[in-house]
Amino acid sequence: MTTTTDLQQEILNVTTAIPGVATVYPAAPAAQTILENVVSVITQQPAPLPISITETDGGIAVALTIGAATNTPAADLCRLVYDTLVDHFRQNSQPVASIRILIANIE
Amino acid sequence: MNDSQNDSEPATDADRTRRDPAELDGHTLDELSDYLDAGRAPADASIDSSPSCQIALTSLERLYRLSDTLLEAQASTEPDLDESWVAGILHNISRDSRAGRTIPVTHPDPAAELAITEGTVRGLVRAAGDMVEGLLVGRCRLDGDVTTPGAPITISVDASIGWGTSIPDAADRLREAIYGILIRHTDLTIAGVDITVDDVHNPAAKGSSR
Amino acid sequence: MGPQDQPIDLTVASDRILVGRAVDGDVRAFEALVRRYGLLIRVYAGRVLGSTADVDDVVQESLVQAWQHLPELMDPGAVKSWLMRIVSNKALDVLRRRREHGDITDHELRIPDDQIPTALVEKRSLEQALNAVLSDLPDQQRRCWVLREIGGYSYLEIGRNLDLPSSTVRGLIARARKNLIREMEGWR
Repeated sequence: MTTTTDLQQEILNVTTAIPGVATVYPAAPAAQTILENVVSVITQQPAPLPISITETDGGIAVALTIGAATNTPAADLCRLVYDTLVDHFRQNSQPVASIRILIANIE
Repeated sequence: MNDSQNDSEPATDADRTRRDPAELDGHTLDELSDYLDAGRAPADASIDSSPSCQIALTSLERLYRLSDTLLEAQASTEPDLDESWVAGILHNISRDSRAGRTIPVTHPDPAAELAITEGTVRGLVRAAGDMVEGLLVGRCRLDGDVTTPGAPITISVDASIGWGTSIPDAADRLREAIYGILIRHTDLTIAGVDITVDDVHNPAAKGSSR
Repeated sequence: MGPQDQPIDLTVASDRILVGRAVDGDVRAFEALVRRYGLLIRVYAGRVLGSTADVDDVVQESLVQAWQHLPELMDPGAVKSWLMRIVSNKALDVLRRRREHGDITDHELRIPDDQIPTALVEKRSLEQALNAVLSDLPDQQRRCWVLREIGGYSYLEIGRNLDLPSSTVRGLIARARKNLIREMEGWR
């Protein structure tokens, strides 16, 4: 049986392997580990899981937010990520209700 | 910055005002400050005709002028900002707060809900501006219903022109760069790009960085 | 192609441009503002607080808050005084907390001017000399003067924030002026 965490990891792996995907948000910011002495004034919110998965009658509903690399047209990349994930789920016979992909940054 | 060194020996009222009346022809420095703040109006003959008051007023004015530079002077003697301190601030600001509206990316499959944030598109406009020599892009607005695919959108950009750069020339190049980058990265229908050049900068250092 | 490949130099940009970019989400523009005014507002916070203890926290908190509220800034060209206002408010909050904890004494309100030493060490500039005098002023005297002349606060506002009668604030500022002018006149 596939757990949600496994599925999230799987989606993460597939997504990050796509050329042009620079980041999958909101992962824990890398800078956080570098800066031990950063201000404590702002409450650090726990990093939400990078990919949200909801079970629905029509299959899973996936939502992820990504950062795109500058050298890839962003809208095309968005479609490419979608198509890649749909293909991946089809191969694994995983019914999909919807996939929401948001580009939040071009870096 | 001594809290304690002078705690003892409270001053009497006589101490406090002691020097003023004698030196300032019956006026206090405080009165003179108020007189200055009021723009020396209504005119007070007893102040205007007193040489010592005039000297004090000149000193006060000089001090006012110095107030701001005083802080600057102090700042210039301080060690540079600590890099980890700067990084700490940047780490703690919320980028999400600038995401703006969600701009759809079209896809034939109805199960696809694809989009780019408005903040990302504004970032593209800045990136386009950064490619144009002699120009700096400031604020950028997307006017129109960006959430409806195909709706006409007008981009409004504030810019600063480098000293000696032709404005129409740079504006043309910027307009072209913005069209180009948005067509490449988004599905937006760009109806126009309005550029407002309302600032001038000295581009001498551009590219050389600090 | 992107700004990260060859970062443009934002240090030549005006405040208006930097604020516009930062409002739109450009972290580098905000960083340029932090670098442009960071030292100044730190010195300012130090002058108001009177100790270095809380300065870093106050300034960092202020700047993080500034990023958050930057879209509300009506006149982007006035960002410097706007930042100073935020820092002032944060510093005054700290002073209020200190006061609630009884960390502040009122002794300093009654120091005779003659006990304020003029700058003894030879200074390279008038500004340095006046800064030395400023450093030696009793906390409340310096604080009130700085809030009034640099922070642009009114006597009433200062009094309200420091829990002092306006008349006392007025007196403190008058004495600070006198001390500074005495030093300044020595430089004629």
